[in-house]
Amino acid sequence: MLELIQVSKRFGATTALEPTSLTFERDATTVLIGPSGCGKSTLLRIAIGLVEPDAGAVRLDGTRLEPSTARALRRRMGYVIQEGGLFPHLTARDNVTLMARHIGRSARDVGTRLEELCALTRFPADGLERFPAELSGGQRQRVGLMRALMLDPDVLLLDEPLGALDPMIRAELQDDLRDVFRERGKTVVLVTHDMGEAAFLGDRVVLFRAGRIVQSGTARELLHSPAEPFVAEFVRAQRSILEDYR
Amino acid sequence: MIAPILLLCAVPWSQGPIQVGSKGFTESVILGEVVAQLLTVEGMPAEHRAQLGGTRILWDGLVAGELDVYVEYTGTLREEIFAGRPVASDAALAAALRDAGVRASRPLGFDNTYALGMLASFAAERGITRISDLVGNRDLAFGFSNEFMERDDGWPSLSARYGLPHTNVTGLDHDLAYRGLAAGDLHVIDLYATDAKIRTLALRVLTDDLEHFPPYAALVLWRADLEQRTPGIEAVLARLEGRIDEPRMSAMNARVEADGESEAAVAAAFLRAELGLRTRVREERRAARLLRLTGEHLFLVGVSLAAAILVGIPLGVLAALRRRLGRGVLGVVGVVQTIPALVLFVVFIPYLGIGRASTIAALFLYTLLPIVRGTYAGLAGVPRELVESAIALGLSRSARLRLVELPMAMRSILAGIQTAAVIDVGLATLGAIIGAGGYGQPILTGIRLNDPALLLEGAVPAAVLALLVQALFEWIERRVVPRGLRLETEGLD
Repeated sequence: MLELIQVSKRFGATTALEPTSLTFERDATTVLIGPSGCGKSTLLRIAIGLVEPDAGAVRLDGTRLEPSTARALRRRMGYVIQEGGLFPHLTARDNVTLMARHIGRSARDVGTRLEELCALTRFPADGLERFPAELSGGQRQRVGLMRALMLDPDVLLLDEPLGALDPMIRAELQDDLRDVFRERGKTVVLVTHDMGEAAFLGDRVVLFRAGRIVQSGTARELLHSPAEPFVAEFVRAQRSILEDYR
Repeated sequence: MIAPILLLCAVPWSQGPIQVGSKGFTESVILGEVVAQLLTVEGMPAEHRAQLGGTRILWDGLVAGELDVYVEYTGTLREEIFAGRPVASDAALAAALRDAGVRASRPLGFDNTYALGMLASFAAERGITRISDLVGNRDLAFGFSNEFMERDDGWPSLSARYGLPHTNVTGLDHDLAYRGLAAGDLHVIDLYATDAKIRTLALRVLTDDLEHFPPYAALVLWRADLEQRTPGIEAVLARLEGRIDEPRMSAMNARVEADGESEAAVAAAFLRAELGLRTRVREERRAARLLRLTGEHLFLVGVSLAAAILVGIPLGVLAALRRRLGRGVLGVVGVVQTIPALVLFVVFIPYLGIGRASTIAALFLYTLLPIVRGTYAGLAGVPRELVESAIALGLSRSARLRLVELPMAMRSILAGIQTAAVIDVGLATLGAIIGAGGYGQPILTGIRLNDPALLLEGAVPAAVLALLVQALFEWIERRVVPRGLRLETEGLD
C-alpha cells in the first residue's frame, strides 16, 4: 500500500500541489487525470522521490520515503515515462535487465523473468538485441514497461506512458497494459489526460485541477454525478466529436 | 598526481655529464659544441644542450644548477643580466658573477657587439653609411630581434641617442628578420658583428658613429661548484681564452650557415687546428635522428596527455556533479588556456628546470581544458528524463555515473581527448626551446639556418603525427562509443 500524506509542492511562486493525501491500495489501478499543470505528474514524481515535497510524507507499506530509504523503496516501484526513457547506449535486453544484473541477480533468473515479460507485454524476442533507436515508438514503450516490471515491483507508476503514440498503437497498448495491471498484488498509478483511457484502465479516477483533487471515484461516478461544474465540463470536453454524428 | 612523474623526468639531469648550454643562434651553438668537445676529450664527459631559447633560460639554468657551463657576452651580462647594477668595470662584473656562484674565463678574443645592417646595394642607393644617416630616411622599415627591442642598449636607447624618428619598427625572430631584409619588407635590422650573413647576404654594417653599443666580448661561464666536482676544469676552459678572433668566428659561422656543415664538425675542426686536439664527432644519420626525435616527441605527448586524461576526466565529472564548483573549475582551466604558450613553457623552469619536466607540465596544463570541458559537456548533455529514469530504477549515484552517464558522455569525452592530443602534438614542438627535444629541434635549427629541408624534417613528422593521432581517436571512437549512440545521431534508413 502506497500512501501520500498531506504532501505539497511549490515551484517558485506557483503552487504545483496543495496539501494532498491519497492512498493507493493493492490490486487496484488509480488514474490521475486533469488538464496540463494540474499537479498530477508532480504527485507521481513525489511518490518515486524525483521531486521532494515541501511538506508531508510518502510511505510504502509503512516505510517512509527519505534519502536513506529511497534506493531500497525505488527498487520496489516501477516507473514508466513517455517514450519509455530508455538508455540509448544499451540494447532493449540490457535496458530491461540493467538493474537486475547490477544487484547481482543470476543470469538464469534474469533470463526467465525476461521471457515472462516478453510474453506479458507481447514484445518480439528478436527485438531484444536492438537499440532503442532501432525500435518503433510502441516497442520502446513495451521495453520501458518491461524494465519497470523486471524486479516484480509492488507498485507501478506510469506518467503518460501512451502520450507519444499514434491512435492504433495506443489502442493496442491499452489492451496490453490492462492485462499487465491485472497481475496479482500490484498497486498501479497512471497519469493521463485522456478520459477514455482513464475509464478503460482505472478502477478509480482522481481528477485534479490547479494542484488539488476535485473529485475521486469511478469513471462512471465522474460521468453521472460530477461533484462540481468543472468535472462535467472536463468530461464533456473529452467526449468524442464522433458521438454527435450518431 | 603529476608531480612524481615530473620529478622523475627532472632527476636524471641533476647528475651525470657536465651540462653545456647554448643559445638559439649559430655562434652560440658552435661555441657550446667547442666547449663540450674540449671537455669530453680532456676526460670530463660533457653533454651539449643546444639552442635553448634566450639568455634568461641559460642564465637561470646556470644559477639553478640545470646547466654547468655556457658561453656569454660581457655586453649581455652588463646590459641584461646585471642591468641597473654597477658592473661597469671588469672587477665589478667579476664580483657580481662571484656573488651569483658563477665563474668566468677571460675573453675568448672576439667582440660580437650589436650593429645595424642594411642590404649594401640599398644602403648605397640611399647614401647611408652611418647610423646617423638614418635620421634623414624616416620611411625605412626596421625589424629587430625581440631581445634587441627590450635591452637597455637596444632600440629604445639607440633611438634616443641618435634621435631616430622611425615608427615602422617590428620585433621578430632574428632569422626571420634576415628573410624580411632579403625580401625587401625590412630595410634595417640588428645583427652581430661576427654574423655570417654579413658576407653571404652582402650586408652593409652601419658605423656606430656615436659609439652607442657597448663591447660584447665572449667568455665562458661556469658554476663555481663545478671546480670541486671536476677538478682542473678551469685550466681546460682557459685554453680557449684569446683563441678566437672576429674573422675566425665569422668564418666558423659562415661554414655552418652558408656551407651547411654541422656545428659539431666546425667545432672539431677548430679544436684540431687551434689546440691540436682530435675529437670524435658523432654525426647522426637522418633516419636515426628522425627515430630519436619521434621517440622524444612521443614521450612528451604521451606523458602529458596521459596525465591530462587522468586529471581531466575526474575534474570534468566533479564539475558536472557540483555545478557551482564546476563553474570555478572550468573558469580556472579556461584561464590557463589563455596564457600564451611560450610563457607557460618558461614559467616552470625555476621549479622543474629546463627540459622535459617543464615542457610536460606546460603541455599538461594546455591539454587539460578540452578534456575537462568534453567530460563536463558530455555529462551535462545527458537528457534529464534519462537521468531521472536511472534514479527511479534505484541506481546509486556512482552506479548511475558508471552505467548510464559516462557511457552516454563517451563520445564527447573522446572528442575532448582527441582535440587535446592534436593540440599536444603541435605544441610539443615548442619544447625544443627549453631543451626538451622532439620535432621542434629540427624546426628551430631549420629557422636558424634558413634551411627549409631541416625545417620540414620537424614540421612534416609533426603534422603526420597529428593526423595519425586524429585517425587513432576516430578508430577508438568506433570501438568504444556504444553502437546505440552512433545509431541515434546517424539516424535509420
